[in-house]
Amino acid sequence: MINSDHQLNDTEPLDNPNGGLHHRDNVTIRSGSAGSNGSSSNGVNNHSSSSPHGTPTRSTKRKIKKVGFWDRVNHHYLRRTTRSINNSNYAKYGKKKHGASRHNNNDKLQTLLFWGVVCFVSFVFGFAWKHFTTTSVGSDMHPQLRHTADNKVPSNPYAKLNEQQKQQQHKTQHYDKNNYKNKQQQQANINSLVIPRFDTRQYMNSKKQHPQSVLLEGWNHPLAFRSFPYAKQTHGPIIKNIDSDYGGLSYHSLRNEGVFSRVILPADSDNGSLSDGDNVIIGAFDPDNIDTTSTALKSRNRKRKRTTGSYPQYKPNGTKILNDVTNQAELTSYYDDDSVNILPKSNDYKKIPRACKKPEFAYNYFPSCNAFHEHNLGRVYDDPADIVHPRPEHETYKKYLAHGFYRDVWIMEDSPWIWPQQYAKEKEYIQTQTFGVEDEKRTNEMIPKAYRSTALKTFQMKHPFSDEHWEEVQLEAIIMESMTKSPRIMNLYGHCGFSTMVEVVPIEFEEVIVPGEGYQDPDTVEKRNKDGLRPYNDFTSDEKFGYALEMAESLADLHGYDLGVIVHDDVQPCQWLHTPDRKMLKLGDFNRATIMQWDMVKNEYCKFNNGPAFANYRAPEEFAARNLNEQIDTWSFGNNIYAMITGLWNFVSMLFGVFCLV
Amino acid sequence: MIDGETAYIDPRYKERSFAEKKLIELVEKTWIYDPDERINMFDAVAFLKQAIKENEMRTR
Repeated sequence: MINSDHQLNDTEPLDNPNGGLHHRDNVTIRSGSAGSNGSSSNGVNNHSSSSPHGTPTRSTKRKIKKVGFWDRVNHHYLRRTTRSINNSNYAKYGKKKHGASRHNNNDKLQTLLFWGVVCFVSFVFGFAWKHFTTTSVGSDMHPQLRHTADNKVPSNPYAKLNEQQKQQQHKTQHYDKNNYKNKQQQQANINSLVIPRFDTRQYMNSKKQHPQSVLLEGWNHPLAFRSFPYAKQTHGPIIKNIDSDYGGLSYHSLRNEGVFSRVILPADSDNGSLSDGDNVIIGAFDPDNIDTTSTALKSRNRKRKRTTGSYPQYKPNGTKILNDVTNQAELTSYYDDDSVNILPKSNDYKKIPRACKKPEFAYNYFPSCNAFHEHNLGRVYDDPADIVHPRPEHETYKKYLAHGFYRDVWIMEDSPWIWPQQYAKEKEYIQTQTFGVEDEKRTNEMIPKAYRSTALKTFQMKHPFSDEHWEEVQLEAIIMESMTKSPRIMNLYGHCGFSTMVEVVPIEFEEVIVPGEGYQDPDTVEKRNKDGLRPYNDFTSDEKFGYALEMAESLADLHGYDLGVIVHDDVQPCQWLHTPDRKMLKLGDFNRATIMQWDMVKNEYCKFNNGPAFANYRAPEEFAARNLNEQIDTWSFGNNIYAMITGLWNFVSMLFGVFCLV
Repeated sequence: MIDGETAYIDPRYKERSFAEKKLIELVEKTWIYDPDERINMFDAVAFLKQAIKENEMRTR
């Protein structure tokens, strides 16, 4: 056989490099043809015995043989119709042979029914075949669908498990040494040291108290599971630009001045040469000659855009280099090269144009993503005190603390194994202390860790990961970084993307100032104060002095920053926290903060406008949606002192809006 | 507050202690409607420092 194939190959032209394959094809074709011949010869015989079509000899044979099923069917259901047709045509054609016509119709019906049954049966068998082949684990399955260790197909982690599986999971999660059925099993378990893998499914399905955090169900990125083991979906899937290499979101920085270098070309330049000194620079800001007409203001950026070659990010043929930038407003901010925001009216709403520019420190943006990589978020945190009972798997290096409206806060702990004795001492000491806060236990846990840990603030994924929100986080990082010189303000350890890593300041202060709800009827307050004043908190008058001074100092540090005024814009008691030694109050949470811009025309600070805002602690000019400056913080600071004096919120009876946006 | 009201402070607090008296003075300064007339933060710090000094002098 093989020899003959080789001979065949020699005779053929050698255009096919893979001769062997060609051979095999030949062989199969041959063998196949031979087989088909044989089967066909058999099939003819079968056919003659069974099929309704055929020569008259066959039909007579069958007729002789017996009355089949189809004949009976025909007899019962269709005989009448055929007979009626024949009877109606009797006059035309004479009496026909009854049997022949009947048999013709019968044949048609039989073929129809036969193929119908064949189709149905093949359909059913096909389904059965498919069912039995796919449910068994085949060797040709996709490798990612198979579990490598025990060759099982893992169940869908997102599907709700049935009760049995739940029970099993429950057993595996909370197994105890004493609950083993016998010693053998225990011995076997000890001998085979199995380190259980961190299984996110446990968190997806357990009834844990989740932080109001993150959605993951539609977001198939594995890193998301690693970073947020407590995560739970709170809304539908988010479609984002996920950079698979980094597991993060890829955006272009609006503040990236390296890429968008402020090179502005003159109007007359032909070959894209740069302007030198005396040439007029298009769009460059000249504070002495501002065109105050509204059309000029509107067309300021447009004019620059129209001029060819004025933007280095445009290619000569006019196509954009940045494909991501589709928004027109974004483009405008990109190409607003001198970053001067010209407004038609002054701070006092007079018709004098303002030219507001951000101070330079607003651009000192140094994201430090490497600081995040230094922390092993997946590591199991082992408390030396709990050495006998090792911690459950899910208590990792980081721990969920709290959440605000925008962000979750996690504590990332340093290894206490580095300082076990010191840790134990501090822990013992702290447990004797009380702080007057709601959750004493938590503060007791946190304080010995506080100096050796950092707080990680991550953006909740239920909010859009938009440029605006990112800019808020950036702004916070910039402000906190520039304010590290102030001891009254929380320190920043790292910033990357939407998350910041800050100092742990563990003791709540708001709960001490305003214990309980803080809202009362004026009548009940009067009743309480009938026999002498009884404020709702337990401060001595000297303490009130001290805390007021600390608050004022931290705000003064913000307002008096050398490089430009910073406005906190969200001053409430909850923004201050106590350091673990309770010697200092620290101000945090700059997510509403603003860096005030400088008016280049009048040489004063540009006021900003937040639009109308309503809350008890807000200043009246905010209610009126006027232009604002840092004095709004002062008003709110007064509210804080009021709360400290009385232990109640200002406007006591109105239950209206005091929230902390973390 | 829109109607020009500020929060009610019980006048008895002014007589309760020197510190509270001073603090209420400060609160009234911060609750001035015109932001230009309102006390700024640096003056507030100075005011508080001065008041704390006075308080210490009194207690001695």
